[in-house]
Amino acid sequence: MRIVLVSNSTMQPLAGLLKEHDVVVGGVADLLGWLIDPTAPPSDPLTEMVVVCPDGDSLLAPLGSVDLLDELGDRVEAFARDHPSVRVVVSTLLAPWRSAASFADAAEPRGRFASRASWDTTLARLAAELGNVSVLDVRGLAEEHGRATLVNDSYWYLGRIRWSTVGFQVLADELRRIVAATRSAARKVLVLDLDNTLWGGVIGEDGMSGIALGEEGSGKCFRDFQRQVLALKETGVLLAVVSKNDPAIVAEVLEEHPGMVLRTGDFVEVDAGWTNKADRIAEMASRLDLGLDSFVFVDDNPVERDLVRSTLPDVAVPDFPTRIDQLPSWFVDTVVTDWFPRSVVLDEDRAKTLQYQARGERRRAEAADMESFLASLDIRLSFRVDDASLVPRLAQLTQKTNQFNLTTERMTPAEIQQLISSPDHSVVACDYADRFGDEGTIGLAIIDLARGELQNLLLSCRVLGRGVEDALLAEVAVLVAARGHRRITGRFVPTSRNSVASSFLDRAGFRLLDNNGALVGEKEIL
Amino acid sequence: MSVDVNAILELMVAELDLDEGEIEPTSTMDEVENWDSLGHLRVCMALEAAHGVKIPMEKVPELVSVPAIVAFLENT
Repeated sequence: MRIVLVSNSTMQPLAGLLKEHDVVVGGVADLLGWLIDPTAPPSDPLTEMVVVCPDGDSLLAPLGSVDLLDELGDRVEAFARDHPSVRVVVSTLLAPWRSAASFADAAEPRGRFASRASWDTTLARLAAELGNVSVLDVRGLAEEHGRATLVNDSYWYLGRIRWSTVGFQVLADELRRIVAATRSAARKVLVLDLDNTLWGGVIGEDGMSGIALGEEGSGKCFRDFQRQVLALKETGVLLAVVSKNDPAIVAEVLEEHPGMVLRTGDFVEVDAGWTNKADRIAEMASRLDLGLDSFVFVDDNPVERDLVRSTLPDVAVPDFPTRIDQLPSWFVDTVVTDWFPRSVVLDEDRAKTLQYQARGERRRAEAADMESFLASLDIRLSFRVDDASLVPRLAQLTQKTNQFNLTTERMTPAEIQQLISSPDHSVVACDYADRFGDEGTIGLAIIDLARGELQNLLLSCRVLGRGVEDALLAEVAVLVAARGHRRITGRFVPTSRNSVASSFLDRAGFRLLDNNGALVGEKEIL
Repeated sequence: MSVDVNAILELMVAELDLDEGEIEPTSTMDEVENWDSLGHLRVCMALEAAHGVKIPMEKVPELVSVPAIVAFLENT
């Protein structure tokens, strides 16, 4: 990114620390002039960011030019309005907080205290009015690191270098965060664990009254943390829960615990269960139609963090603080700053959670419709193994079934009879009935028990799409396993009419071994 | 303190954006093109950070050769 630094102190060392950017640095006399000069680097069409960093120490010095600040404010505003595609970053003023007027300073309309306050007000107004103005809060950095660490008086007198080696590094890091925020590098979803993350203790063991969550003691750390998380949500970040817990207990805490700041409606999804968290995050990503690189996962458990880190490298997994009193500040300083930086919050951002909740509910409704439809059918399946009385019907099924038929291998009654009699083969017949009536024998599977091979599986098209094939395969797996096999192989031979069965092996969890005319796969069974 | 001249040269190569060989243990400020007044201040700041010393303000303009820098650090 082309960045132009404008200051009345020497900023060249900062350029050396931002080598990944193309940084142009003005001289100490260019602070005011560059902003109104159409031929100066800030107005160059290639410039993407202008950083205005006035030296507070010299502007607020006794007999220093406070008027200059008013003029600077006007010029920054005019420049930002004229260059809407340039990100204009303006710094607060860093200066010794004592002045020669000592405690009388605060009463002076042009004193240090009032000047600084008025500059801050100007910056807040510009940031609110103009979407392309950001604030570089160097005073905030000084509160964090200590002013004495960040500045270096001797080099100011030697060559107008105000910042120390450490100071320039701190400035460079902060500018990188601002660049990240302008590039919308922010992630979209914060996935949270529950036990010992959103509250202290384990809800399944400690119960509603036993977990630490409230206004007292360590419970307040978690409550303050939740407040920060809620504030992040208000900027448009989606919140989700992935927890190893009983869903009913989790729902009870989210709805009823008096200490909770975050409630069910604040989350785009609440996923409580016992399966692998990495799988659940991946599934959530596909439900929400978001890439895994949109996710940040916060969990106190290092084992869960490692699992997600190694399985889903695109998901950001920050380390968790070792002391819970650090939880609220760690969250803002590290998680928010590193993964959810942003320059502006729009009204659309605030409505994000509702939007995505609707998206997730629609997906679930589609799935639930299918499930409730199937449930309403009251399907009853029965399986008969090597039943010789069914030979004519089974042969007929191999002859007539064209669509859901893995191999379309046609068989005569004699051939079926032979398989039924063979100790190394089995023929499984599947009968179907539901509340609308009895369909009789509608499917079969032929198994080579000696080799653990599914030779064919077919199903009448009358019962397709109701999960019957899965139930039939499960029956087959039981028989194969009973002969001591740990895996089963199966194959699909494509014809012009059996494409409906083409994805069956894949959906059923078979691993593709060969694809040479026929798809050959194998599946673990236990 | 004992001083590693090569480490100082390495620091100066980085701060002054030099190619290797552009500065030697005997070099002086006027022999090295990038060693200008701002470059000099950057070198001094970097030396302070690397060696944990404070170079007195009035000393800074005197450290205008590699031997002068080495001598200052050795006597600190």
